[in-house]
Amino acid sequence: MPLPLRARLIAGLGFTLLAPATGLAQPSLALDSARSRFEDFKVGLFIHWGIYSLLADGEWVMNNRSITSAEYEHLAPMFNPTRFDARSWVALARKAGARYITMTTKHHDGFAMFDSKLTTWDIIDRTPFKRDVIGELAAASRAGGMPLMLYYSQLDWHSPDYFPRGGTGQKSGRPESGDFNRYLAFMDGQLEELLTRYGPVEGIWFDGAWDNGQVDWHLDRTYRLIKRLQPLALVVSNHNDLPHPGEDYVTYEGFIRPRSIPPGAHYPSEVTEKINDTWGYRAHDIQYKSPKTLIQSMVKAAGAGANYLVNVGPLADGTIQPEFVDRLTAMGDWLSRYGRSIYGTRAGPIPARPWGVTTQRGDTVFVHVLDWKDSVLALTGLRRVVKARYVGRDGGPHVTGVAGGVVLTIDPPSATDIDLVIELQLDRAP
Amino acid sequence: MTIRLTIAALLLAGPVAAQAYQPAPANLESRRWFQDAKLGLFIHWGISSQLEDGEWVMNNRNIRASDYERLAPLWNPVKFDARAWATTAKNAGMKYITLITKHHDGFALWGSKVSNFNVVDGTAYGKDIVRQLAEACREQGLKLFLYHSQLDWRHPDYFPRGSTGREAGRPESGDFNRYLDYMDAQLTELLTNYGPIGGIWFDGMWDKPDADWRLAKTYSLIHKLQPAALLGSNHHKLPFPGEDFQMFEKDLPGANSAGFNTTEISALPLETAETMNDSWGYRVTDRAWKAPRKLIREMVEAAGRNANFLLNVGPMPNGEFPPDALTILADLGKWTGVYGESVYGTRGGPISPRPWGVSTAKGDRVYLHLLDWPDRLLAIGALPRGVAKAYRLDDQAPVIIKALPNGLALSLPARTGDPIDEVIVLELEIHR
Repeated sequence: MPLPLRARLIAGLGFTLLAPATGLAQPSLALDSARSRFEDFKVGLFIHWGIYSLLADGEWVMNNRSITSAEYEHLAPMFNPTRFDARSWVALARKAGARYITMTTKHHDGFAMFDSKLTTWDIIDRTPFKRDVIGELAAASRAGGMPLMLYYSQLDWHSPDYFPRGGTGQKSGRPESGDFNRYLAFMDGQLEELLTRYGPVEGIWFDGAWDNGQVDWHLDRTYRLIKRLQPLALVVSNHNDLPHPGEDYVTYEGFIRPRSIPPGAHYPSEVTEKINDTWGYRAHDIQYKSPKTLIQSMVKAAGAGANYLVNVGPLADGTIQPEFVDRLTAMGDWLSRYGRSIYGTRAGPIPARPWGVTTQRGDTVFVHVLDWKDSVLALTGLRRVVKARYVGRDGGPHVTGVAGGVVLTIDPPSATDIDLVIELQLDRAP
Repeated sequence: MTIRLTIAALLLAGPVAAQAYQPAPANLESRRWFQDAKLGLFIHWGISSQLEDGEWVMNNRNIRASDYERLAPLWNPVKFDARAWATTAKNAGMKYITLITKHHDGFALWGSKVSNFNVVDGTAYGKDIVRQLAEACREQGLKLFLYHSQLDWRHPDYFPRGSTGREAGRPESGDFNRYLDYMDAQLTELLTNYGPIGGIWFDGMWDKPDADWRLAKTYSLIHKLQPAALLGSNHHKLPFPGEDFQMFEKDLPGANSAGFNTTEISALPLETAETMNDSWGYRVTDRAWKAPRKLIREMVEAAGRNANFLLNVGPMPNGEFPPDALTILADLGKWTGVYGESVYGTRGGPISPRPWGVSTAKGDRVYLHLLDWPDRLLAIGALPRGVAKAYRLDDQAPVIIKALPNGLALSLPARTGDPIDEVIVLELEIHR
């Protein structure tokens, strides 16, 4: 995908977030601490929900079926999700072991799921439902102690001022003219609404700038606005590349670490993953990943130091299908037993290996054995292990020191095991 | 109990209701040779190659049989050189060649007396491809296997039709038994006129799996004409009685990424058939050539699963191998020249496939193929006997072994770069 501004913005950017070259997001202890807190979360729940959910064909349905903007507007009066209950969503996130929620406030269709005064293209003005979904979710999140990230699409298939058009939304029947700077002012206005009306939020999760490489997005202006309104709100953008100045962490769709990140560089990071193959609700998508696959992906993300943001696309009535609920419950059950090897950890001392990954918290290393059949497992480079025990069950492996590392004698995992977690206590470094 | 088991066995055997198949001693010897050989070259070639769109082009473009027949006189592969093919195969480390003699289009690459739709009587070229390659293989010490399609899109007696070849414009009648007589006659020609044949590689039965293919009759004919020839069929099921090896199309044994393979593995010799790009027959637009590294690693994966690797080339219409295929085969030859002993003559080793790779074994030697192990320390489970000597195959660098209560810790020598396959030799203590 085209990555606008990439070349220009990467120039001059060091390989650490702590000293951004442009000084957009002034480094501060408070912001460092907010980023670090976010890294501690490790598991989040992504929610893709909008009027597109009515068509049960994914959140890109307007573009994919070449529905014009005027035709698409007919959907809004049909949207009446009477079974929406923000508290039940927060409860589900908690049940899944998630420590934050990332919710679509406006997707590429431009439809605001909150009460925007800058347009009537929102849930209050156009739907019979007339409830501010974002407001309700923000309140339920606060009550439930569940931080809320707000997804916002920079790309807009509805606004006529999103012109010149980018790579998508070409068949929406809009006039061949428009004022992109007016669109950016509208976007900044909506962001200001989101950041002033709903209390403190965890941050803004951008998507869609990749659509248009021939415009100036004035990212610095928008990012500065966010930090001015909420200094500790994190900024991230789904461009699958190195962070641009002013962004606080990096997020990747479905994979752990792109090649563009130099070895050794550290950024707070997040991996997003679908339970099936679609973000927004799609009735015929039954390619559900198994609980084992999802949990192992989560563990691999943690092994790379990344949060795992797992997605659900609720139905148009506000309910979440049982296939998703079952898998999220399985994740939560696993985390209730093994969570201390995930939450609050960072990438461990051994990079991802064919057998699995490691995570670390202080002097404690967690070895996650994901795929291994033997009773002996060699760990290169680890020394001075003073204690070894299994997480989630009794006993522990025998540790033998050998040249170059240690060998663990373990109860070999069976094919159905998800993750044999071993806690190693390292001798404190002198 | 015994009777019930026998009936169940007969039912399970599918269309073949033969008495138990007893392979001849020469056949069993061939099976051992086949398992030792490990590496073969598959060749998909015929008049379809002229259209440069794969060997299914007749079916895929709904070309009628009468129109398709016009391709035969046009074919004049003046660059075909059987000796060059055999030499190229041998230099790549191949021990046998499996040649298309007749694909689904029904065209014969030999001078068949029962049909003029063949290379000798029907083309401008006029020479017998099978004969030339059989002689070249004999010269080079390669065995020749003959691919033969049971499915036939051209023959009118291939009736009732199966799931393919339905747009060939043939009459809505025909005598399938007469077609099978014709097939048996062609097989008889192939098994009597070209010297000793390594085996017959059948394909196409999947086109109408429920028909009576008279397998017992055809199979016993083959075993009678050449008892040492191995018989296999690409029907994607467990082997039927009378078959001598099991093949897996574009999959390792037990895997089913292709979507049509059985995941059941028989006790017979095994073979994985694989393409160099995405096509079997030559396709000019198929640029998806796989890296030699990837193909070599797949061959090693197959060997670790006790299977041969049959790598396909689709020669160009003029008889030359595509340049990309030659590059792949040259790289394969370089690899087998150095690492061949860890593959040829081996069987799947004492350690079944692991996340780090596979093992093979021959006599007192175990070969560990480290396909995915960047660390210099590796622990493996216990082996049946102690290790007398351990080293890396290509540079003889020693590997330090430490015995553990439940296995072995291997301290591996330093390495530079990312090898295709880091092969560690473990010489086991010899029984006294």
